[in-house]
Amino acid sequence: MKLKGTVRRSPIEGGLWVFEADGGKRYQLAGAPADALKDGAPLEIEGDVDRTAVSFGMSGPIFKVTKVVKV
Amino acid sequence: MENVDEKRGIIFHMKAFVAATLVLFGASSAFAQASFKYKALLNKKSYSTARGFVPGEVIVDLKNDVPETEVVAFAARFGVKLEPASPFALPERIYRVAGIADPAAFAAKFAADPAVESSEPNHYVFATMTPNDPLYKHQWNMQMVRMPEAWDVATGAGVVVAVIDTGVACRVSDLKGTKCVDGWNFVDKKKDATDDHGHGTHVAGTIAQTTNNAHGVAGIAPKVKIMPLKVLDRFGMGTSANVVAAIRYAADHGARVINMSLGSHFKSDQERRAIAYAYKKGVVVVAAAGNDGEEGANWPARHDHVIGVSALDSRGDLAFYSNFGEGIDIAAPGGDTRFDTNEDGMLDGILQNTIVRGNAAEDDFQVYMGTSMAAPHVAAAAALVVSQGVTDPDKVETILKGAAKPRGDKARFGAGQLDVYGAVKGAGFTLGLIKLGAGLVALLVLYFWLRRKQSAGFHLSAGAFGGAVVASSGLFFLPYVGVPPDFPLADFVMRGLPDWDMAFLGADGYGNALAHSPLAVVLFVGLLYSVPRARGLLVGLAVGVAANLAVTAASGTIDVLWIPGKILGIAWLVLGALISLVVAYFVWRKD
Repeated sequence: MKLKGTVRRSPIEGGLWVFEADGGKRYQLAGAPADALKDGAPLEIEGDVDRTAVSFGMSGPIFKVTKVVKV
Repeated sequence: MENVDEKRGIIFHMKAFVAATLVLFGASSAFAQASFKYKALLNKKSYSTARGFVPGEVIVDLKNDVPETEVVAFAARFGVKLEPASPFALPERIYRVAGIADPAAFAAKFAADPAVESSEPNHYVFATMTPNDPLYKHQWNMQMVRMPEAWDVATGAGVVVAVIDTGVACRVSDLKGTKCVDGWNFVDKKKDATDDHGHGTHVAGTIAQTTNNAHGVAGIAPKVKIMPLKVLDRFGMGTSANVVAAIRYAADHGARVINMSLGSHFKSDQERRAIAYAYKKGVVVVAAAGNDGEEGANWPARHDHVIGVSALDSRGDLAFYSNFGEGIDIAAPGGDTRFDTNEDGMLDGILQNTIVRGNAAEDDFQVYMGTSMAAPHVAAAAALVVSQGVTDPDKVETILKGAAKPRGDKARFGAGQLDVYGAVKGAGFTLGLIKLGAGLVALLVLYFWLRRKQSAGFHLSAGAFGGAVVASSGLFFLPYVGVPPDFPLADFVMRGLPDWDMAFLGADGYGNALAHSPLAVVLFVGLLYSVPRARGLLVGLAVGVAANLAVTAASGTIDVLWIPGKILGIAWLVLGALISLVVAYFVWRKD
């Protein structure tokens, strides 16, 4: 699954990274390289929603990133 | 001969009357004090006059910009000695003046001085516990859930709370006086479950931050033991499989409460089964609703037998991020760090001590916001309720919900806003009062019944009343009249005889079948039956135990350990109550 959108730093839970996909759906990113995580950075990512994952963020489904296509 | 007997009878009657009066007076004064305290909170000024003034003392608050030389000059002007009202009062220029003949008149004279901001006679305050932790003033959330009164009566001693999270750094400065028990690190498969992220330590702080240690902040149940179970890695991510394993681990290792400030959008049947397992073992499970700001709580909060918690901001509104709707059972403070609504110089999140993100070697006091912060308020409140002797998870939930301040919209707030004091009082005071009442009524009924049959071998003695009090409820009301709840032997003195297993074994072994049986009564009778003067005491003990067991059975507050199933547990308690009554009858009737 490919997603286009923007990385955001959420202030929830002491701070966490979320991905706002074009179209408005929000995901939490797992396994994204640290240099891709910049507030406001447009990103194209590949991967899948991990239905077995849990997180402290509880801010959208967890998207396991396999590849960052464009930073 | 008859005359002597009659005299003795009168003396016994008088003693009994005095004892009964004392007990009833104690109970009713506890009631009065408790309601008085509640009123005092509503109207802070009312209790100052009600408790009276400190003889000869005036408190004077000088203007903060008054220089030190002017403070000296002020003292000289009135010929008085100024002592700082407290170590913290010096920067505020608040002083105490002693040895004043007419404090009211002097206070008025002081107040007219240009250096003075305000002045009034010093009065006694029936103080609720205000922790001396210096950052406590930023913990608006503690006021919101009525912690100052709750700390007066319960601190959670003996209860283990499992924190399923990123681990807990028990070494941080403001957890040093808090007990951590062995946990497990499910991420790295090792015993060391130390936090390497920061979230879990913050959550543990809300539950059990070392409190009243003149450092940092306070926690809700500072005497509980934290069991750190690490399922989230240093990025805060984990697997449902590890959550399942951690729930089962907690249930198998003595945790009475589980807090899960984590979640997922997806339901897991394994999780559901693990929660059902913990529930059957008498564990209260609490989880955060989730931070999507959407309808429907995350899983596991949404499962059966989980208390799902939505988050409130400092104004008491549903926090902007909090989920609502299905799965919400109760609301608790989660904060909103976008604002400083109360203008205390600190953003209105939840302030606790935790490790610094990205630098786990350092720790600091940080404000977080989230439903993760709300859940541990409820988990800690549950632990306090458990420490009062209510271990059945359904009952704990009922008590928390029943005490919650109703907020109308059930979808957002569930049963309402968490009220920790109300919950603790419901579990400790109300239940104690019912046990005591049942014990005394049972004693009187048995006595008058035996007398009518003309077969009472003994009169109502002080021993009988004393025994009934000790065995039914103990002096459960002591914390409500100002006695700190953790004095030596408190666990014995403030509980009925069948509940002493809490003192011997802690919350983990509480509710066991032998303690909640007539065993102790039978042992006492075996030991003391031949001592005539002990008969009244033995009857009192037997009747008190009967009352305690009967009330426990009727209220369903305990899942009896070692007895399978709730129904059999209740049957066990009822049988125990009946046997105790029969024992009382045989001890008391005429030989």
